[in-house]
Amino acid sequence: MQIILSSTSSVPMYEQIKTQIRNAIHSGDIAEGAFLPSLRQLAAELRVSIITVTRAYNDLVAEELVANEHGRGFLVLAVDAGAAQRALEQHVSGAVANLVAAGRSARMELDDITRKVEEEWKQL
Amino acid sequence: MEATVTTQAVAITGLQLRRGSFALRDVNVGIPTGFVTGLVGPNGAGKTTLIKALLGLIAPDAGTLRLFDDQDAGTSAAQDRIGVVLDRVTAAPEWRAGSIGRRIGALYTQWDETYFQQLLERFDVPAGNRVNELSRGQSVKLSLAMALAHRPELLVLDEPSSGLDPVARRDLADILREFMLDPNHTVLFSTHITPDLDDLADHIIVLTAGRVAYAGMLDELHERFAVVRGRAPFPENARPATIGLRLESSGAYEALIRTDDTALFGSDAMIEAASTDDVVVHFAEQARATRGGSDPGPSVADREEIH
Amino acid sequence: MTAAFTLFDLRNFATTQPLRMILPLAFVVVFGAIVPFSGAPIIIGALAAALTASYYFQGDERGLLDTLYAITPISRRSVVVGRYVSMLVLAAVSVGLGAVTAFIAAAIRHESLGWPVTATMLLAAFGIVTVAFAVQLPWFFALGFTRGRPMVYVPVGVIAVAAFVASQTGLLHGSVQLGSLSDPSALVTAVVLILGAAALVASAAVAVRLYRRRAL
Repeated sequence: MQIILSSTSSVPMYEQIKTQIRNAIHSGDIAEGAFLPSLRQLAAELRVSIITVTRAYNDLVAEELVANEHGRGFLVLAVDAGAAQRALEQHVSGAVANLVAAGRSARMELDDITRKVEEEWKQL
Repeated sequence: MEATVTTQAVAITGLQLRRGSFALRDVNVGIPTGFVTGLVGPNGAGKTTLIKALLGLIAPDAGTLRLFDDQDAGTSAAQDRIGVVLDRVTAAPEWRAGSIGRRIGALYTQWDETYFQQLLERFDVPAGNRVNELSRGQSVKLSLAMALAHRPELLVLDEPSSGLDPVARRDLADILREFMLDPNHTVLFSTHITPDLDDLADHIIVLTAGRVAYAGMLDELHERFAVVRGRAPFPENARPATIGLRLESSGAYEALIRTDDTALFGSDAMIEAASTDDVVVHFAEQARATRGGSDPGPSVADREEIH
Repeated sequence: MTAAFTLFDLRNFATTQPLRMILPLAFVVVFGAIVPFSGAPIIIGALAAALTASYYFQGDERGLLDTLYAITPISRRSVVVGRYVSMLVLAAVSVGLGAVTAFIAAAIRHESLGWPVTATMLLAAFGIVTVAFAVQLPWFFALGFTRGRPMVYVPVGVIAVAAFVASQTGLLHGSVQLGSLSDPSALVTAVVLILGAAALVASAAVAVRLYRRRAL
């Protein structure tokens, strides 16, 4: 799992961390039964404060995506496949909304946007 | 959360201290173990005085300073567990950096000479150079090596990044992060370069005119306070809720307020989340304004204990 | 801890102010050899120690070492006692060097340096060093070198006065008068030693109190 943070985004750091971990769990990047990186280790790597990571982890615990195994770390729990898929699709819906808004601002036509999507898809 | 016992590395109660023009009044604050606490405030607010008091360099007029839950400030046991970085290297100008361990190591119980030499190398401090031949950045790193080499639990730094270029400041932050990998370690550093706190400090203590204006989690500070800016007319009924109000002759105003109080201002007032600088500046402004009177300090001080 | 500090202190002085350690000793040898009064080098050794008492404190101030001591586990009391010891060690070296110089000078001049004279000189040296340290050290510990600087001139003043008195009473002229000195009596010796030691102990106690109260 690679977490990349934006320091200029209006989204708070702990939210960014939370979102990226959540996506990684839903997409299977982090397997069920695996442990999240240690709190302090992640804080040092990402260059954020310890409390920032703590908040993200605690929120994930509240969402029942991970469990706090005291002394051993934060354990990734079983993911409901349906819920995971829905979450990922919601992520896509959000991206689509952003794309459409950006396209409209640039005064592009739907065909132009579709073409761009196809080009990007083929690249990967 | 990892299984750390929530203790306080430093517990200060009822601290009163006056030395010439520097004074600390009614300081009640704690530095929690396992976290990074930033100490901010304008120059002359008392940051260095507070740090010197908890290091036992200055004796308070009243109040207590407890370290690690069981030591008083200044005792040998306490000093053994504290690593210190002050604004000037505490070493004779003629000493060669590499020789410092052999000189002062015997004064500590846990001086690790190998570790000291490793740190000097890692920090790029030339061991053969005398202290007065080092650049500002190298001096700070030497101080840090001296502080870390005796394996302290608490690291106290007084304005460590003043005079450092951005690269050195980042190096310093990385070294502190590495120190914090151990949940029993604690860092306290004072600074007036508030961006250095971002992404590093967990807790913050705002000191203005010798009093604690705010103490709590850094994130909460941004959520608790907001800056309001507006044009005339200034809603007079909102005055008590303002901190460090600035009223121009044109009627335009700016103040720090609690986010709870945003409703007191009309919809045409601009309200934004407060940065750390905003908080420091406005509390300092408040302290300056009240100095003429009985000097009670910030009237809307959030002096909750850090838990 | 005190011993550790004494070792640190001596090493520090020798390596950061080497000239200040060597020159007074050289002075003892050179002047001691020149002054015709046998046994004088011993007194000169004591005077050299008395007059250079501020050097250690000057070194402390330049390197912010007082703050360093306060930050390390060493107690302020250990710093004070350790400093007294290191300075007494150096004073002993200075006086000892004076004694050696005195013997050699006497031998070269084909004079005899009897025990009575030597003992008297050593006792006087002890008195000079203990009084000088007992008076100056608490002062420097309380104020540091810069603010305590006026104290540096006090021993100089005392010596100037003593030299004047000595010259008026003819004490400086020749060893003849002193050759007739007898061994200092056991009583005198005991009194001087005890008083000197007591003065140092009392002085150290005062110095500890003053140093503890100093804001560093």
